[in-house]
Amino acid sequence: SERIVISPTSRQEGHAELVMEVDDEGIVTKGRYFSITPVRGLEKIVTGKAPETAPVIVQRICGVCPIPHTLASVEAIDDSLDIEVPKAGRLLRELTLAAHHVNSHAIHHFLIAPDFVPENLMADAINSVSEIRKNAQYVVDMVAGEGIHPSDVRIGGMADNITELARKRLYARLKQLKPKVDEHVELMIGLIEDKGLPKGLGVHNQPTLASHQIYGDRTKFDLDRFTEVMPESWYDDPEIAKRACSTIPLYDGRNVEVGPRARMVEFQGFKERGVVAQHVARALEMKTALARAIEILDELDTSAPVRADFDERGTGKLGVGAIEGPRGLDVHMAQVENGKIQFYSALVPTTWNIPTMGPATEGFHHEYGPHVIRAYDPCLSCATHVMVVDDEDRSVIRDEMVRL
Amino acid sequence: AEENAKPRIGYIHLSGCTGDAMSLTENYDILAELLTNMVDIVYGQTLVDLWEMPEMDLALVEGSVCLQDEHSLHELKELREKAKLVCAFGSCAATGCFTRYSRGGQQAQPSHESFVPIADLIDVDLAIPGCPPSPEIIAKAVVALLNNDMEYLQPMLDLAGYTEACGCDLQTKVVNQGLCTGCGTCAMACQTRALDMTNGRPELNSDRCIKCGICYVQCPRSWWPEEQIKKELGL
Repeated sequence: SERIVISPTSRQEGHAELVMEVDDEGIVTKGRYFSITPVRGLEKIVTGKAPETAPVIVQRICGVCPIPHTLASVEAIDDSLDIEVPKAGRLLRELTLAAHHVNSHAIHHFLIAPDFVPENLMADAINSVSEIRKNAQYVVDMVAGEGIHPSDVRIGGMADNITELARKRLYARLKQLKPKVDEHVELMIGLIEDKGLPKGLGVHNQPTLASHQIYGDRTKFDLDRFTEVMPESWYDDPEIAKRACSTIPLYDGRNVEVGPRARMVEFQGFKERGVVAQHVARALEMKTALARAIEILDELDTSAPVRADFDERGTGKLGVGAIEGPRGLDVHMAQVENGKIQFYSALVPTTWNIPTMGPATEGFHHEYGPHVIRAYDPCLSCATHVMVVDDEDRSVIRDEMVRL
Repeated sequence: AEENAKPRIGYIHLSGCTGDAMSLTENYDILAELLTNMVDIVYGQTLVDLWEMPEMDLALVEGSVCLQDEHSLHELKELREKAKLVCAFGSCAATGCFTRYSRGGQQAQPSHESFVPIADLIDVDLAIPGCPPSPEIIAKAVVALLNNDMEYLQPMLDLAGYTEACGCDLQTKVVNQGLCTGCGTCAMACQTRALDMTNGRPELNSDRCIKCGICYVQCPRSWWPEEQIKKELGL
């Protein structure tokens, strides 16, 4: 058999390598996908620092999906400090994420455009993406302080509520955006379905994992069902294992798929699988997220408090923040004691998907490999910031968590 | 001939978050025009399927460089050879930004611990700091390059040497030198809200400072084009 290596894989965030073993007809018999992005060590950077520092630093895990990281970080610290965020603060956080979903999914359409959009429609497609992003990012800017690395999502809630005038304007702006998003979603789904990708491409038998339809719910993520192994015990090729820059997370001992399709399977009875289903789910989610953003802007009380008072000294409780990022479940864990972060860990969307993506290329010609990878909208800067549990034995992991 | 006249731009991603490239794409109204008619993106795995690094007029480099990652070092060296102009694109490449706080120890690659601005290793022609830089300044810099407007780019050319940035630069390089006018530009520019004005002078919350350098860069007292000032004042 022959070995096909794509390094780095393109039109995605960060550096990764796709290694496929193929038979005489070029059909992939074994696929392995792994991150080769250097590890900046953000979990170690924030350890020992003030709680306030953590969201500022960890949102810089990734400039494509900074919102979920910021939210998961503040939620984890809120949980560690037993903070009850006021309702208006919770709504503004959810509004930020809903607008970000619309923006981020549009960015993915920009990245996959060369796969699906004919040359004569390319400028129109880019303009359609830009028009949607401009409005969605305007909301993030206004509500969260900065569009790319939001400054105003804070421990305990948000830095400020928005004004009544801003609420009305944002509401009107998103209402006006709705027909544009509907049209865009229809265009993208049409182009993707017409592409004629082979039936069954990217279908795998791994379970899906999601905590909530849009925002995320820490009570739906069971730490006891989670384990993590080092690349050495996952990849059978020692050379790959040595170079792989992310660890392998498992739920109930199995690798999973997270992201838009997983959310629709878990919460909307969606049954489709594979590359086309992933793209369709992602596109449809733009409509769900926009509808939720409009609903929040309708019900938000702009005179209500958005941030709780809290004592930042902490008791060492292990706090969990679970957020549904555009690419899937993003779990951050934090322990605050003596006013400092004592332990920090981020279990991010692409890390969940990495062990599932390689095998999902199997059974089809290797030329389809990159299609399978891009259907997950991988984001590798994220995937290099994972927790350390150098053991396959679940009980040891739990002990270590408690001890930390 | 018209085809060949478009500047050839490459985007190289080292240890960054892609936020700077995202900011570039936030030039919503001109993005399609920029990408299809104004420049040729000839390299950059985030944007295009081209693996061989070609000759480039301009290389936009995002991210600091990890000294323990051989692949990054080779890529950096190669791009210096292939690019006429190298731009440290965003604060990680320009000043190291928050990766200055890195100290390794994290799986799956605990040896990755030293992250430095690219100017520590190669000659850099210009820098566009910011975490991320605004879409507007990126667009203006690219357009200035298209027009060979080096006067507009002069501050960015000078910033190529500003690699050790921190919010405390306002204190040591501005307030301590008797240069602060209390205008508040630094606090407005700070992207993490680490700065307030207290008694008319900047007050730094170091728990929020990421060492991006944008406060000092934006300070109207931090850049002195001495020759130009003398010329304009007839000195």
